[in-house]
Amino acid sequence: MSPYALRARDVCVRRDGRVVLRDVSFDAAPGEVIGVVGPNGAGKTTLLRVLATLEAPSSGALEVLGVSTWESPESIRPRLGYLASDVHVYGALTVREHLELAAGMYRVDHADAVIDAVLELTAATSLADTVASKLSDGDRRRLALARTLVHDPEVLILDEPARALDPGARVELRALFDELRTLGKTIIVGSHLLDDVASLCTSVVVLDRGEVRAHGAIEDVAAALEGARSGDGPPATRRTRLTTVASSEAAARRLTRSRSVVSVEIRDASSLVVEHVGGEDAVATLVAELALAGVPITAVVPEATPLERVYAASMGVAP
Amino acid sequence: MTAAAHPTAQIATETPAPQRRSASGPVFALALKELRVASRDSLNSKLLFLTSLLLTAGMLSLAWLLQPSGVLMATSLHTAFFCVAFAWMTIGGASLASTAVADERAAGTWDALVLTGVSPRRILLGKSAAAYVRLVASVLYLAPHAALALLFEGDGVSKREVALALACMLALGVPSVALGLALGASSADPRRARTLAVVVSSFAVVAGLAVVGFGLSFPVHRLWPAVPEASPIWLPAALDRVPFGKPYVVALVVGPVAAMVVPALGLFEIAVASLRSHARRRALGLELWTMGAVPLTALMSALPVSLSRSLDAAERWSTAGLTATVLVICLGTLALAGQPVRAPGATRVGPLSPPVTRTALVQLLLAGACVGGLAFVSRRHVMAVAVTNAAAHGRGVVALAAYALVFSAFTVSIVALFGTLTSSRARVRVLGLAFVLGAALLPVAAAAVARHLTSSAGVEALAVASPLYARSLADDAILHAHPQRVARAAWAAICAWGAGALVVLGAALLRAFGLSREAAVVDAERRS
Repeated sequence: MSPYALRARDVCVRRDGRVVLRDVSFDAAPGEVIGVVGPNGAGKTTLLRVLATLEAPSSGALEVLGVSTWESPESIRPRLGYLASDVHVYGALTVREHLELAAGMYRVDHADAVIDAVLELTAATSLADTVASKLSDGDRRRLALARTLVHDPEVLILDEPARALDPGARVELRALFDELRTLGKTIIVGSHLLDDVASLCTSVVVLDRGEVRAHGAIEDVAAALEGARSGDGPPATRRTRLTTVASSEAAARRLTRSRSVVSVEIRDASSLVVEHVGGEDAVATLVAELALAGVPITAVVPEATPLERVYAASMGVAP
Repeated sequence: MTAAAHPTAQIATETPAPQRRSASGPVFALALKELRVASRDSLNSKLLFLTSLLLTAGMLSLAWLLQPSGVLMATSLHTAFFCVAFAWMTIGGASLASTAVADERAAGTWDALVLTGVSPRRILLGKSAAAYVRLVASVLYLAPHAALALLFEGDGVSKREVALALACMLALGVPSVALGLALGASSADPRRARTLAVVVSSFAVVAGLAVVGFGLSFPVHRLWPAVPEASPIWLPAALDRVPFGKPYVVALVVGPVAAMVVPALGLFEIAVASLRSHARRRALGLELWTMGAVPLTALMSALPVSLSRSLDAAERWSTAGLTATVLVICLGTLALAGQPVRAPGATRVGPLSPPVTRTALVQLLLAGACVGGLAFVSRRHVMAVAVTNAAAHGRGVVALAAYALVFSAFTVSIVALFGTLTSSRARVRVLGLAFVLGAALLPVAAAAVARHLTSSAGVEALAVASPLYARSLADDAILHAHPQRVARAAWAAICAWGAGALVVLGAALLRAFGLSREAAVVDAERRS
């Protein structure tokens, strides 16, 4: 049995003489949650469609659950769940009829019980008898997600899963993903919203113009990229937002004396953003110094998440 | 959304794995979905109601017009209704099925179907089942019009004949749905798919009524005088009136069923192959169809030859059989046109590894075996029934078979060569079709220019493809004043086609091997 849920080697996709994906290689272990991030046009959707076996790569090798997509894409597909970025439904069918179709196509037994449970899981029970043409965008997305889950796929490939969802539904989506992760599902999430990916993923693939800029566990990649940058040029810096019960100006005066601080920006009377060298240890030292100087800090919030740092470092922009 | 354990996982743990599969299956689920969607589209029922009204008006007008003329009213109304029903089944079936895939593509729902892992064959089965059910429902809706003819019972049409005609119409729905699927499977634009289906099926209606209906009614009438001649709807009458026996089963049951089922299967496999563009063996079903249809045609052609009692009938049936076999080989070649030079993901490179050449070689072997077998049976029987000059008649059959074989070989080879010159499947098919039509008609045109068409053999050559032109040359060799000269011309044509086939096949093999090797080198470089 393959140790990888997914294994891509030198995957290239060419369309009309244009290279859309170039030598994309990465692995996903079973149970891993990988975010595919990148700017618009980076090739995220194409990569996800290739992983879902909807598009054949022009060259390279791709294995999903130990099976080559060249050899037998039809045997892989029932073990995958794919949520496209654009949701397409049959306008004349109700939500339940959509799920009945999916259950029939996947030959799911106990279909009625599974459909009821999936409707409940995706908070779509009240929509069951609603015709799809009358659903809002967010509800259509719920329907698409429910359809993706009906057959209990081992690998989930989700393109912009939180698109069109309201904030409440996003929170519910995260809880659902946590549950799916604990069930050992391998999940690949494509998004250009780093917040979404950061809250869901343990690993990341950063794509830019069809090429993989970085790949691995988020913290590892962040450290590696920042380490690489510090070796080449000026030391990498981070921005941290501090909140104090004392005056932010007093805090700023104290911080400018510290050697690890590059700059300080006062936001309002009680908060400021400090750009500094070093990681969490450096922040702890700064907080301790401020406390000793009589400026107690009540909140420390990184201005950029680790994923944002990875993204910024791999794209060569400031976090 | 609530974070509970995944429902399917929960249910999975409660149920042993082998029992987790639903009995209903994807074909039923998809057909049910298609019928649900169609039943909620009010346009369908309005269209059917309008057609019904027009049909009623048309048939009443016809009855009113015919009343004073003294013609058989029932026969006229029966023929009129079933001609319309024939057109409705052919055009309607093709039109309904043509958009089955295009609608999904246009609506963006196709990916979800493909991702279920259900094979294109099963998806198309579900869709064609739904299209067929809709078509049958529409015919049953219009069926009461057929009973109008029964008002004039005793005027030439019986109840059983009407029932048999309705049954024939229902059977006709199978190839018409398959035609629609084949035409629309690769399209993403429903309107374009429907237009193409309507245009092609309209030609099929005209050709069907003219050739299979009107044209065939004459030989059938000669064989069984109880069957009316010049009537396009002769099969139900024949099924009703001809006494049951071996010829009845072969000519009126097995023949028509084979004539509907074999093309329907071929068209269905074309549709399947269109949906499997990324698969390594995308045209496997089509290859299997060719390997079944060509021997079946040869076998079916050998039956009437061996049942013939006269030399003339045996020669005509052998000519028709060889022509039909060549026609099926050519159709299979065109359907399989555009096989890739290199299979997706292939690692081995050899002279026979390119699918395009492998397919061509398989077809050549098949053509050799089937045409050779049919020629052997035909020659033996023709020589057995010939009273005089049996050896010359035998040579005539051999000449015709040789011509049929080299013509098939050239067609297969040139389509393979076209396949190595362009990657567009449609372009290869158009080029191949242009070649076949050109090769079939140009000799006739040349004969016309050379004023050979004044002879009876030349007129025969006008009717069918080039193999019959060779046949007319063979006839000339036996019957006319300059046998040696004409025989030499026939064999010269056979040798020219044969040599041409060898050269073209060699070119196709070399080019496919070269392209395949180049692609393998590029892949190896990329990997390294």
